[in-house]
Amino acid sequence: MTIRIGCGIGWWGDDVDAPLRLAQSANLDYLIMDFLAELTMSILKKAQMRDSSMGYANDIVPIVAGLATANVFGKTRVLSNAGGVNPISCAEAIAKATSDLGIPLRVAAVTGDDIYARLDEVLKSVSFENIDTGRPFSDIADRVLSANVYLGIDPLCEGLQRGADVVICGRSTDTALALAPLVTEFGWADDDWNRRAAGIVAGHLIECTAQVTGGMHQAGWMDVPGMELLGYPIVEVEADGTFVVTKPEGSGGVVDISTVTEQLLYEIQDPARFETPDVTVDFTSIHLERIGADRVRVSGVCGGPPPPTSKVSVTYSDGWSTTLLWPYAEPNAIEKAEATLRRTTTTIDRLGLEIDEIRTDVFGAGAIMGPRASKLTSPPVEVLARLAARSNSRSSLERLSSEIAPAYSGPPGHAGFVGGAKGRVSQVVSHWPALMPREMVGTTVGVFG
Amino acid sequence: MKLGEVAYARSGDKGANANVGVACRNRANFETLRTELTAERVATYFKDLPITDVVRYELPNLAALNFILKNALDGGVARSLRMDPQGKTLGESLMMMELTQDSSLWELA
Repeated sequence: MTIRIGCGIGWWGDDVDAPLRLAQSANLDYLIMDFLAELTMSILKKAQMRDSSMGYANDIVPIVAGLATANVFGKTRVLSNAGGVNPISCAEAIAKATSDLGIPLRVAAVTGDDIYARLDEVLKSVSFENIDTGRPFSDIADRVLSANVYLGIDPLCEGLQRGADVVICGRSTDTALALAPLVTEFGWADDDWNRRAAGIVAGHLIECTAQVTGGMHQAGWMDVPGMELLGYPIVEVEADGTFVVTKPEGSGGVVDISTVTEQLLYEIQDPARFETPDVTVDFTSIHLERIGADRVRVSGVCGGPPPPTSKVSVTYSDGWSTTLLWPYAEPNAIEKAEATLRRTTTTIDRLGLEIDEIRTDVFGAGAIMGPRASKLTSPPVEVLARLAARSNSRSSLERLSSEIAPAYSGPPGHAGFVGGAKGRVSQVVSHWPALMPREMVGTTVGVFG
Repeated sequence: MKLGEVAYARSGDKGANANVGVACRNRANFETLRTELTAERVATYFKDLPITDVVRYELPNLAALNFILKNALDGGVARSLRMDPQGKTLGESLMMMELTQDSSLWELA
């Protein structure tokens, strides 16, 4: 038996048409969709505070409705972390939308990752010290926006075992979305570390969708065929844990040793200890072999027991920020940009605005690469002046944000507004990683529809 | 000769830290890459960033190295005022590094 898993969404903002395109061009047993990044939870928490029925990645509802209309269900089941901070409302919305279409689905909702409401209780026995900086939680305790512990596969497997067509969770690990169906189908034992590790690697390779099929392909992006519409990834997994990474036949992109290697290296830390709540994976054990066009076989994956603690992702309010942009052209484009930046920083001082941090750059003259940029052999014909600022004073930043338009009283040749005549002031939401003992994590699975 | 002629990279963020994974285009160059691309060399190359430490890990199975650049992202994606707060260009930038070892040591096929 081979289990085929595809990934249709890799982040909230990914191509919403991709899941249906993938499901229709590949004979999938499971379609997974990953909507959550570290800071997505705080956006969803804010949405839920405004309206208690919100707080999930609502793109999932029309996506699943579209899949149902195209008769994808029956053959294919869906797992997604689109539930955000409100998996129950998300599952109910999906069950209602598909029921309204006359295609009723069983939708499971996994809860227990959201520990925001029980934070005081948890903090009685857990320090929540920042695992990157070592800072105490008291630094941010009065500014917390969301708090979620990363769940493993157990509640996802329960949802599948209870016959769900769609399993919706909040903050589970991205890779659990792929491992859960494999453990359910193949019955891999709790301590079958190597095969569980292989399932995690399969999930890691597909969870960022086209990043393994030719997207961000540093080794040779200019030679990627069909870059305009890349095929999304599929893993074909055997009972022994070996698997093949591929993409739908005839789709754009490429799957080869270099695309797979790039994605294996993506956002990892110690490769010998890739920790999840289900298994610790050794990426130095992975063997890759190209076995055909757009087909790479992955084998040899080793794993070990997971750490006793689970990662907690806390987000907190960290002030406000704004970015201002002014475009200029030759002659003397750089000098014009610098004059406008000087004018604006002087204005900040003159008005006495409270700014905690400020940064000025000139696009076209090393705004991204800084001193690593190649030396300019001639002045750039066009540049973009950029001023970014952060402050705990929202009113100071609101005042600063209106300083784009007066650029007309600066150097000549301001070429119009980029993104509006005022800067947009945004709340800065920062991330605080912490740990808690796994035995303190409790989960519940409800089935709707 | 630039590093990008013998290797390729992918970089990204983990909080305020960045990682840069570097893999050989030809596996035969892994030992030469290990000698060339030390943690110190990478730290010096990115000295304009507020990096506090560089840690190197080896993946001989993939003929690859993984570098953790501590605090390279100046507070991370939400807080940093810099361009590229997620470190996506760091791999591209590193590939422009000039190699110091004799070009005959590198297998170019």
